Amino acid sequence: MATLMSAFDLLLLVALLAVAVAALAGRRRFRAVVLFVVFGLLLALTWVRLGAVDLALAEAGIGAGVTGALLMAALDRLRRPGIAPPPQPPRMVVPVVVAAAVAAVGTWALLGGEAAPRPPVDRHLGASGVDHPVTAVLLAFRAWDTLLEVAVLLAAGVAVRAAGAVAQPPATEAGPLQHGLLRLVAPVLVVLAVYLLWRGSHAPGGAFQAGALLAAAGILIQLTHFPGPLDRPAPWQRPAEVAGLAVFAAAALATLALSTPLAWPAPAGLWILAIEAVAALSIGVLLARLFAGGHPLDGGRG
Amino acid sequence: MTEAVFLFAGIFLAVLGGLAAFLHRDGLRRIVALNIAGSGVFLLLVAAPGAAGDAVAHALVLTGIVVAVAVTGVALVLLARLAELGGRG
Repeated sequence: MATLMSAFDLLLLVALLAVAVAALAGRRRFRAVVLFVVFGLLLALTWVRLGAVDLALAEAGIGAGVTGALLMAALDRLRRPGIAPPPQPPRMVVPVVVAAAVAAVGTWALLGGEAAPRPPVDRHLGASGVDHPVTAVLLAFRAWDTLLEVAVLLAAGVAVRAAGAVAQPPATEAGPLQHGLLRLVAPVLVVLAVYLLWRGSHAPGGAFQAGALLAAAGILIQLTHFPGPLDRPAPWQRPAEVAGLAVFAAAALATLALSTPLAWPAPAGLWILAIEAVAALSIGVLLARLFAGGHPLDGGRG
Repeated sequence: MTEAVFLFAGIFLAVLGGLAAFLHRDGLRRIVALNIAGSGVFLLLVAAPGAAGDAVAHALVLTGIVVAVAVTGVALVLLARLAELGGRG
C-alpha cells in the first residue's frame, strides 16, 4: 500500500510540474489559463496527500476556482476589439533547466538541515475554544493575522471598484439549461457553505472555504444573468463587503476593553463562530466583486 | 523519499514561476507565472522537514492563498484597464 501511495505521489507531482511548465511555456493565453486551473486542481490533490485538507478545500475553491474565473474574465476583456494582441511568449527551456538544478540543490540542502521546532498548537488547543488546530491558529492564536487578511480582501474590493467601470460585457443569452442548473446548484452551494463554516470548529473547513463557495454561487449567477441577489446593484452589497472586517474589529476592540486584545472570553467557540459567519459572507461577496469589477453590480458607477 | 519529491516540486515551481514572470512580456502570463511561483512557496512551507501536520504552517498558507487571489484580482483589473486605455496589455 505504501509503495502504491508513493507511486501515486510521484505521478501526481510529475503531472503537477508538467502542467505548470505547459501553462508557462504555451503560445496561447487561453490554453495557459485552462492549464492553470488544472494546475490548481492537481495542487489541491497534492494538499490532500500532504494531510492539509483545509488547504485542499481552499485551493480547489479559491486557487483554482475563483482565480480561474478571474483570469477568464480578464482574458475576455483583453480580447475585445481595439486592444493590442499579446507579444510572443519567451522560450522556457533554460528556465526549466535552471529551476530543476536549483530545486535539486535546494532539496539536498533542506533534507540535510535540522527540522524546524514545532509550535505547540496541540498542547494549547483546549484554550482556543475550538477543536480543529488550523481554525484555532486562524481565529485564536494568530487572529491578528486573519483580521488583517480580511482587511486585505476588503482593500482589494475597494481597489477593483476604484479602477473604474468595465465596458458592458457582451450580452450573453443564458439558455433554460443554465438557469435550470443554477436553480439546482446555487442552493446546494449555499448549504455546503454553511456546513463548511460549522465544520470548521472541529474539522477542516471554515470561513474562507465557505466564502469561496458563496463566491462561486455569486459568479455563476452573474454569468447566467440569473435574477437574484448578486446579478444587479443592491444596497446590501456594500455593507456586506465591510461587515466581516467591521465585526472582527469590533470584537477585537471589545476584548481590548475586557482584557487582552483578541483573547476571546468564554465561550470562545461562540465568538469564533460569530466572527467566521460574518467574515464568510464578506469574503463571498468580495470575491464575487473581484470577478464583477466595478460593473455591472454597481450599475456602471464603478 | 516522498518528502524529497514534494520539496523538489515546491522549489522547482517557485524558481520556474519567478523566472517566467520576468521573461514573459504579456501581463496576463506574468500574473499566471507569479501565481505558480506562489504555489511553489506554499508547497515548500507545508512540505518542509518537520512541518508535516503543522497547523501554523497550514494557517499561514491558507492566508497566503486568500491574499494571492486578492492581489491577482486587483492586478487583472489594472491590466485590463491599462489595455483599454491603450497601454500594453
